[in-house]
Amino acid sequence: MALKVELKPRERIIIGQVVIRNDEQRTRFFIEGEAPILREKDILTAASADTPAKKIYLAVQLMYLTQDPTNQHETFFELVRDFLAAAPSSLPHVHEINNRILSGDLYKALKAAKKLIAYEAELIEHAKRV
Amino acid sequence: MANTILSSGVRNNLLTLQKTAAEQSVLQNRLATGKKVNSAIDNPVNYFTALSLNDRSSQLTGLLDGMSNGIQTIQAASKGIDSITKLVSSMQSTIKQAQADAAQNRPTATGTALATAAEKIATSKSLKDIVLDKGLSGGVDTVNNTTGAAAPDTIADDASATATRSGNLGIVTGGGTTVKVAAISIKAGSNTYEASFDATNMTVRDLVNEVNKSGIATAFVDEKGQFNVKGTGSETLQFGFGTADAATSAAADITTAKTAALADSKDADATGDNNLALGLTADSYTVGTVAQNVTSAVRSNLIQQFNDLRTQIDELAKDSGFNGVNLLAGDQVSLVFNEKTGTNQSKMTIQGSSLTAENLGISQAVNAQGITGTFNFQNDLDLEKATESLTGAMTSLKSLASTFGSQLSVAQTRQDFTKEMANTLTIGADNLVLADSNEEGAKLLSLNTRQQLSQTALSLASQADQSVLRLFG
Repeated sequence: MALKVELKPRERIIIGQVVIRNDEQRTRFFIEGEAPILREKDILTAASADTPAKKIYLAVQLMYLTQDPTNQHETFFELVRDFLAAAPSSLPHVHEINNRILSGDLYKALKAAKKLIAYEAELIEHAKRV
Repeated sequence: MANTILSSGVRNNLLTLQKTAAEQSVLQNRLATGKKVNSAIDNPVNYFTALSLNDRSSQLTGLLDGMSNGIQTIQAASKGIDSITKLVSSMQSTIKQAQADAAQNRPTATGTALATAAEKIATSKSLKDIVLDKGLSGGVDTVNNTTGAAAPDTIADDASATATRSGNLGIVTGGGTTVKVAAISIKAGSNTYEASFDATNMTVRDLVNEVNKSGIATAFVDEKGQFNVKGTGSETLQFGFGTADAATSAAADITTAKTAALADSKDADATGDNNLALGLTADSYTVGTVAQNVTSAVRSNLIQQFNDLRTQIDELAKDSGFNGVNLLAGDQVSLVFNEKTGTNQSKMTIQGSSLTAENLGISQAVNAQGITGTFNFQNDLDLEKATESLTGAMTSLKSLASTFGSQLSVAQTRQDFTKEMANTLTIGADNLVLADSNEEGAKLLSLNTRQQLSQTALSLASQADQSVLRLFG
């Protein structure tokens, strides 16, 4: 079953180990196979990972791109422990990420990490107001 | 008794007292347990989340036990294979020792003497050298020595050796332009060798060399001047020598003659220029020479050693189990990685295989021929077969070891990950009941500042920069 990808002009996408950049026209293509795929809006670089939750997302992203859950093993757990020590109420989100990684579902783990970023933003917003 | 009516002032005091008492008991409870959330009433969401997460943590810990058992089973099988590999190695060196000891029972066909004492005196050479120098054929016989007429007779002239001529074996070449062609046919067990050649100027030495090219038999002339053919293995040796005449030296005639010579070498005719010329019996091809019933003592001793090692393989395989599960006896081990069921269950199943000497293709060693499914140590061909099956066994063992090895590393990785996760859940659940969401945002901001200088964050960034993300600048 093929995945349909639509790229806007100059939009980028990572497939496996390459970055594909679209030219000036809208493009549509189908992808089949086993490589990791990340659209531009889902990609986080080291430079833009400037909060604890984003760093966790970065670690999970590296796991997804190398298709290897043991990649960044210790780093990931250190980040998670620090995060939980600071914000224990985020446990359900962290739990979801861990679950997905354990089942080998790295793409869903990435999605769960994205939710964590949203939750973190909420908490910080709350703190700023108070 | 009438109801006691309380005035508002008293009622207020009463309410305050009751409230204070209630708060006191809450505080005392908290002081006693150290937890802010002690029951569902305090903070229901956190309480139930913590409860379910603690549950999950203990379920995972339960899974860890199963995983650890599975890993031990695989390790036991791995060790078993290592030991069995060493045993097979020992068996290989046993075979080599047997091969180093020359087989005693090789069949030898010995002919009658091809040189006489008179020739020895005339030439002053040893009987062996006289025979080796003799030509196969005597050339064209043009004069009948008995009558003096010009006609070939049945015995070639000048067959005996003297100081001036080397003599020949008496195989006559026809008159005129005919060319003598000779052929040898050798058969030992299932191996055959045939060769045919122009015998015009061939000597016995040339014939010995031709036989030695075959690889399945060797020829030599002994000190008594007898022509011998010895098999290289212990199979029955069939040796035939034949001749034929080619009408001319044209290639087509030679080819025809070669075919005829080969046919001659394989039949058992009692006259003429064939086996009998070499002193061998007429049926030395059709019946052949059987191996002697001599056994080598060295080889016999090695048989016991070989069989002992073979039995040990079976014993070792039986002993490679853990907790009643033996991957080397064909059992199956299943490692469950999460506590879900149905399609959401994540597990790895490892199928063992039944490892015995028989299944590896290693048969028993025996001292005599003919029993199917055994190796006769007295027979070189069987020793070759044994070497091949041991090499095959090593290959099978290596591939099995490598499969188990990679499955073991997968299982160990999952085990580590599960331990970490169970740990995180427990700590998290505990922390949850101490939570204060007001503080959390502030704590996250301070964590962020700390992480900017932390080793972890730096190493993560550098890993990211080395991956495909570097293209994303």
